[in-house]
Amino acid sequence: MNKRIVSMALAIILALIPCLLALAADDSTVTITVLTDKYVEITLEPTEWNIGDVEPNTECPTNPTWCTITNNGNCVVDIYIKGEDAGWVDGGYTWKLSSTENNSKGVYALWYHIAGDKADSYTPITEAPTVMKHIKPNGDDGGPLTLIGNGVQKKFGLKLLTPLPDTETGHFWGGREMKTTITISAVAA
Amino acid sequence: MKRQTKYICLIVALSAIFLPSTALAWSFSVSPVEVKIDNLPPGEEAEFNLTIHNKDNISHTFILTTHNPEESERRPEKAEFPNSNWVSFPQQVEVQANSEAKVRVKVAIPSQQKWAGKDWEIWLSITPVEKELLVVNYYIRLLVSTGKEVQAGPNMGLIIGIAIGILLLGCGIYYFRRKAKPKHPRH
Repeated sequence: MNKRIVSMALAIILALIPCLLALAADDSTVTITVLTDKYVEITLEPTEWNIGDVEPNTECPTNPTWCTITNNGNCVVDIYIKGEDAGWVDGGYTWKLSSTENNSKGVYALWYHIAGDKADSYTPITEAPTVMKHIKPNGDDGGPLTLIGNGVQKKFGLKLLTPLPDTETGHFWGGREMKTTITISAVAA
Repeated sequence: MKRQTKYICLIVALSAIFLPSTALAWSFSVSPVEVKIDNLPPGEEAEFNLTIHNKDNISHTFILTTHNPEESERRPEKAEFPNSNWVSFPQQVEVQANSEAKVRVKVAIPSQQKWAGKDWEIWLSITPVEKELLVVNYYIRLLVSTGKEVQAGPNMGLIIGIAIGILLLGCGIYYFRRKAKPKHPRH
């Protein structure tokens, strides 16, 4: 009888060993860290720019302090900027956004300038979101445009260079209302 | 002179209007600004909520997408997220005036050993559908670290262990029953 009990216990122990090993191996705990008291919020003022009539191959700048970005959130944010092609509001006719600083037939260029930076220093806006950067008075990289707390403001301006005229392919038609969007993004620094 | 005048007239005739749409007011916030998922085993899922707070007096619809930041924009030692399809969420969310909406975000890593022990970063982008010349967008940092072991669905070790246990118990019972039987029946 004793032998039976010992053998039975042995069998159970043997059976439990792989189970225990398996349970021991399954010790992965997924942790999700979310700081719910932090939120991101920025505002832009103004958000429109009525240029009016423009001619081909012409630069149209705003005032360097034209737009104010305000951090209304409670965290430090870096500011990104991206542009896109301009399109005729009725569709079917576009100006491609230049990937360089140059315009060409059917290609227009956009720049930004942060108020207080080196005078007349403009940085191209491309289709890829790029962190807005200061340019020091001596022309050096002044680091990213960072809004360090609630209520902090920065001002910037824009400059547009219209495409070269091309009457043959219709890349610069008169009397057409063109529209584009510039996206200003905020991300926790 | 006549030719020059003709050219100037042509330029003027080609003039276009670069005009944005009627201005819209934007006031919205998103929380949290960063989500960190640690020790997520390949084959497992993790979920969290984003809150979009529409502070305007009219309802707005927001578009949610992902964005893979450049190396210099990511947190230290974080690599590019391999596949944005592993992060799922509603493509669009409508938020009523002066209200909040919670958006469920799910991160699911495929069950392959090559995805174990990795550190990635991807950004979630939240932007309004309605656009004007300048539009506000928020990026939320999503940091994902995968566990060292692959989670291959049900725990195979446990199943095998139970199977072996049942087998051994069965053998034991059978053995003792046979042993308990008298070898030579009494007459």
